[in-house]
Amino acid sequence: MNAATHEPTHHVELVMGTAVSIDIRDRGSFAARVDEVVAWLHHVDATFSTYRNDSEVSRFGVGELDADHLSREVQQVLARCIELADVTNGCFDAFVVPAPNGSMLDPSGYVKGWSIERAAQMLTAGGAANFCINAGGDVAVRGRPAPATRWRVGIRHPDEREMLALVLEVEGPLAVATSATYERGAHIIDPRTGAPTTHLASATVTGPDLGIADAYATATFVMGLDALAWIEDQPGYEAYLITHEGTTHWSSAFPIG
Amino acid sequence: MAARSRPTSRRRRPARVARLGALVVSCAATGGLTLLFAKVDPSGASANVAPSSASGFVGDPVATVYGSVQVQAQVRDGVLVDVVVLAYPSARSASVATNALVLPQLRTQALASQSARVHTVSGATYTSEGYARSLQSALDNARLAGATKL
Repeated sequence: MNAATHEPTHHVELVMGTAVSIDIRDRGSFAARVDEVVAWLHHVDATFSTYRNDSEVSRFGVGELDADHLSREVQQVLARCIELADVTNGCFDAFVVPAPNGSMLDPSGYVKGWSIERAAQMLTAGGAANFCINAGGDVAVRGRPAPATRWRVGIRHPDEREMLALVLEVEGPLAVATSATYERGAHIIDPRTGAPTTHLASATVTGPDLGIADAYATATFVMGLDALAWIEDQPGYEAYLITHEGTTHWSSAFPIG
Repeated sequence: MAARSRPTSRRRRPARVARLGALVVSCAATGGLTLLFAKVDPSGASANVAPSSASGFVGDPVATVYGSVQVQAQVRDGVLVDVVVLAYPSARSASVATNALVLPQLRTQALASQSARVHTVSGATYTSEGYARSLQSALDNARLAGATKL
């Protein structure tokens, strides 16, 4: 249908425990590319999910698989998680937080963003230049929604589900990731203490790579206001924090206004 | 002169600039209006008004690193229609530099929360249920139903 009408492509896929929205504004047929992305996301879910006991990550986490027997893909992601734990001073650490499968290995805070960054690369390779992918609130934009406009990315208000705290007007490529605990049952563990962290109501990170932005958003949420100084040392990444009191704080080049 | 920069340094800009950028703004800027504007203006504008007239809700002054900020929300038929800045810091030179940035944001952000003409929403949605209840879900449904104006 898209091929015939040359309408923009919009697809929502329920995968990875949430919904992934793919919004391609280029005219043309991208159905095959969207299928490719959808297959990729289900592959990531099957391989990395900590909700599935048969995923490679779960089996490694509970000791059923040796590191030697991990696929190259999983090894690379876990190696990246080790680097991220180092860069974030342990505030994002996939290796010491309790996972749903009962292990202490949960790379989900990087994997979701990483997989969407890959998906964006796949769409780019397929000829799409203007699109937005949103995976459970983690956003990757490319180009523009229309020639004369920029992407308007709302940041959800921490207290009001249908309200926005802020609207960013940005041009791609850009990644936007938000960490918060406003969803029922959600909590974020401070890997340094093992206890839930409650410093902030929400933490948003922007930058070039959604995997890193995703991990940094978690780290920033754990750091609290100290994250403002920390993020200044992470080239290309910016943070926007909302406290429980409702005050907002942002780093020097956050794309506000 | 050209050799001044240190290749090993990862810092992009002086810490002072960073701190200036880390503006502390009242919660009015975040759309935290339901909390801030719980207090009704003592001038009594909201009690017996006709449904179409606007009511003013004055927020408590909020201390920021640059001084005190106080705003008034104009509400009509239960909908926020405008935000007026009543008091803002201007004494210090740093404030002068930041006011130009911060105060327009106080207005536009609060309004944007309700006019909400956005393409997508960043938020922490960890479950399918969370997605189903999210603004992003509403946006997707509108798009899938053929409302392509967004």
